[in-house]
Amino acid sequence: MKVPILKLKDILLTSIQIDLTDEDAIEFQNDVMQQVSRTEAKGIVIDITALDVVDSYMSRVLNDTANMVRLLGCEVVITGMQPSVALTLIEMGRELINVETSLNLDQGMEKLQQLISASDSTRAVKGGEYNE
Amino acid sequence: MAKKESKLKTIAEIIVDRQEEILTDWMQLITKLGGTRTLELMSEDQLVVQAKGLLTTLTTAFNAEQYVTIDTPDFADSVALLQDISASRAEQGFTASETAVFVFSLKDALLKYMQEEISEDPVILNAEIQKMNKIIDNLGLLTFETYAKTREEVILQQSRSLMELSTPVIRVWDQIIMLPIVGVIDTVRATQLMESLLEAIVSTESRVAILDVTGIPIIDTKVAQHLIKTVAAAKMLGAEVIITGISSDAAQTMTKLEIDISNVKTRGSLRIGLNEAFNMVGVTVIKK
Amino acid sequence: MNNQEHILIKESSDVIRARQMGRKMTKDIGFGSADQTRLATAISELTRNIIEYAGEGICDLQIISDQNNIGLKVTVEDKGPGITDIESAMKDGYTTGGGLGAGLPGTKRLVTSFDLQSEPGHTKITIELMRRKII
Repeated sequence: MKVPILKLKDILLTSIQIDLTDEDAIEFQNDVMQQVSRTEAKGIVIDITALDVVDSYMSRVLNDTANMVRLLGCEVVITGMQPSVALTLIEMGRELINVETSLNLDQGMEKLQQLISASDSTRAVKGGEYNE
Repeated sequence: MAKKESKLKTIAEIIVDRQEEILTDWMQLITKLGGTRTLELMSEDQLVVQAKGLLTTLTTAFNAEQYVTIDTPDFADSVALLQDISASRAEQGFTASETAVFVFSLKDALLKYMQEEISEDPVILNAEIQKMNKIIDNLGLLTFETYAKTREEVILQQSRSLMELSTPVIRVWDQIIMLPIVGVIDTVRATQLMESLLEAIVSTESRVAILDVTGIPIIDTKVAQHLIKTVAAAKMLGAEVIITGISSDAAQTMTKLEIDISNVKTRGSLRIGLNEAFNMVGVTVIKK
Repeated sequence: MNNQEHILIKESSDVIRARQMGRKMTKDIGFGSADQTRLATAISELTRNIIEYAGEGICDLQIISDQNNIGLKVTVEDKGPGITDIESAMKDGYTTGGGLGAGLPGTKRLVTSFDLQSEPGHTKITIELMRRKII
């Protein structure tokens, strides 16, 4: 596992610290999915502060990972996108879509908690399946 | 000898007497010279006006006794006119050569008529040709210098405008910044704005950015696109963007142009926008 | 600092090498971080295409400068099957397998000049990111 994934109670935290090749990126995606389902995490923060290049492929991987994780009932926040990276993705037309983002880890954790609370209350209201 | 001399014209007289022909030849030389875009950048009429003007001032110039330098009163008019012509061409985007061609091609035109008029005395012809060459060379150099100076000023002015354009970002509150956007937005500036905004969001760790567009005169499709992109970029950094200050005229225009900014939060006034921003970061303003 | 670098693109890790080199070179000539990222990303897109579609190729980086401008010229070349329909490939939204199509139009928007030559057996893409010299 090139990118370590930490567990803090029911939240997962992962920070991409190195340049990932295409294969590494897919491995990362798989690892995240595995961990989310194994730990039944309610939320995951993916920190990309160290990524100084996010090309169309990596952007797709991040987007897909976020969507896949949400399908497992886990909230996700991507934190720390560098301004140059945000700019470049916009110029290329490859920006992240429908993914919650935050400036840094602090704000990311806060946002994640908000998302989890919001979805918790929806579940309660809907009276649907609630995994203890 | 005296009789013969009095029959010979001076350059000044030639210019006056044969003006129309000289002008015609000169115009032909300028426009036919390959690689110049003179007639693309100015109309023929304008060109003729400039040419006539120069010829008139040259009448005085060519009457000068000394002609080694052109900073004597005899040349004042020519110098002033050429400086004007040079400067305006520099601003219009002519190259240095295109501007100089204007002056130097006059030589050939004059030469022809001088040879016709002063043919009888080769010694005097030669002297007059020397004089003509010297004067026009000096004037030609002047046009180069003026051109260069003007171009430098144009570039300096552009850099200054660019620097003035670097937008001030205002820290309204913890985690709230505001960017007042003033003036015309082109692609270069839009990119610059985006960069400034994003850097500011990161350095102040802001969660809300207010873009006030009261100062943008026209919001057309292109500008709206720039704004939408800016909002998208800020969102990827996790910040919310509120756009304030869209005038009712701009709102009407945008609706007519079918510009869709429904994903973008907009508020009519800065006050309301600020209120919203405070709400977002969980701040309540209490009046004492 | 070398004015020219030549990188063989054979494995995924070469994509990273090439884009890191691109970043280094643009940083050396004084480009700001936004431009550095633009170029590094463009290099990433192009070299990744080589791995995916041609197996191997080369990436050539060269600093070019004249009186008014300075920048980086990147040439990416391979002997792969080529892009058969260049016009469509350069249209936004065109995708073959999610890889090649997605990259090119976006990449073009990041750079100041973009040239694409492709036929079966040979593809050559040349991009430049030039900026005015600050006196």
